[in-house]
Amino acid sequence: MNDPILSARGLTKAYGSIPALNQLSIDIFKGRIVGLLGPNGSGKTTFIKLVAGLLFPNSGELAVGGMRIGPDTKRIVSYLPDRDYLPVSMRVNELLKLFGDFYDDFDRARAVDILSRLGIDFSQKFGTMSKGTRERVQLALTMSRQAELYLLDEPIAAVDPAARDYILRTVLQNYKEGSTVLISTHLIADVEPILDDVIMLQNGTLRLYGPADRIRADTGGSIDMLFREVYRC
Amino acid sequence: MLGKCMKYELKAFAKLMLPMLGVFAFTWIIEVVLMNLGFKQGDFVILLLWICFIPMMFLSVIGIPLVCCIFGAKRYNDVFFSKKAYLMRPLPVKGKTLVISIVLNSVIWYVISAAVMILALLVPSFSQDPAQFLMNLGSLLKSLIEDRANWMSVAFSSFLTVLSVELMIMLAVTLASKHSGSRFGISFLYFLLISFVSSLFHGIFLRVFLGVFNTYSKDDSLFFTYFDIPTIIFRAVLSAGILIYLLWNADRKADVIQ
Repeated sequence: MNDPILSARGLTKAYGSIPALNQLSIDIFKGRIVGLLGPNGSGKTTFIKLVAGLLFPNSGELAVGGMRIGPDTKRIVSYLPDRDYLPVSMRVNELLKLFGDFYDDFDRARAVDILSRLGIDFSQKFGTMSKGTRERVQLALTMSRQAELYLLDEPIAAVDPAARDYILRTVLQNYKEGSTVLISTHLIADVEPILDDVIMLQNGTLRLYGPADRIRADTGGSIDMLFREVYRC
Repeated sequence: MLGKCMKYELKAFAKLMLPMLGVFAFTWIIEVVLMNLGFKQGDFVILLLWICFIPMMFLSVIGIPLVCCIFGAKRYNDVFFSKKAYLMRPLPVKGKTLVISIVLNSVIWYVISAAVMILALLVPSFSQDPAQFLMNLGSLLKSLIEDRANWMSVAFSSFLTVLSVELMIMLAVTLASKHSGSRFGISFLYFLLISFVSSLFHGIFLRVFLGVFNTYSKDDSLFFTYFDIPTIIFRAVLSAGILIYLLWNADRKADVIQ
């Protein structure tokens, strides 16, 4: 039996009185590309931030690689937030140095290769780049780690279709073999072809979880169609 | 990991502190150069420089430590609760390590600032005659050594004051992070509340201390100054208490909600 890389039991998180996750229990297994799907406010980003260590649960348990969230899990988790997060005053070569300093699994040569193919000037400051270029730099740094679990929060939300293809191609070509990729998105049609498993959240609870092929076989349609049906307004 | 965090915090602080200290040091270097050119104490040029230097030195004695303390609190907010948290918090580093690196850097830069300002005090004793300079320096050092208890009390109390203010701002930022809305405004309100409560407890502590250790009298020059022993003790305990809470909170409750 494949061991889970990520386990949640009764995971609950609220922002004040507003519940974001409610008693979520799930196991995500190694070597899978998992789509974390749901409409806005369903708890996708909250779940990812809990795993990345940016939030602390109100109750329940969460483990990555059998370990509680902490420096040891952050060592094997590579996280791409849903926003620009790198300091605008830092240059690309400084960012490479920072990632290399803190992450033992950072493959600098791979990052340099990806960034070079994009024609990025390594002495350029992050803040002076276009939005699309900034996102590519962030993605390159994230996917250049040989992590056990990649957390990609809405990586294709704010980019054009060509850029979406590039991002998904970069993910598939650079993630460590045998590791798990958890992609949060509401653009189902674009990611569906690469998904092994699908998680659907609604109002902070688990609506559906299973292999993408089985879901398609059971429903007789695509995941995208199922999403539209499940979350119909 | 503390070393790596310190390296990056040092760079962040240096970007702000080095230019400020540089401007301050530049002024007294100019005075030394002018003296080497033959201008003496009392000459118009030196007088003009002092007119500029004295206010700057006065502002720097208060301003530079204050900037150091506010910047330290700002770094804490950035690393834990703002956009930079998305870079810093997923690093394989304990939250308490990040807190320690920020506070330690504030302390280091405070000490560096103090050292630069103390060196600046030597400028007035400078003389083109090496023997006279050494005599002036000797007199200055002698007076410092003779009055060392007071000077050490002043220095330590000043340090604790700046540190406790920085930690109070950090605590205010932490408490404000739980709220939505203008975090700056809410942080400021929390800071006012924390300052008021700490002043209240400070007053109570002083009265208790006077009652228990009644060796102090009104004639004791140390007691009724700002830099008295019970104040030092109170600020040390306050700083330690806030720091312990911040270290505990960093790995258990510090959510990045933004």
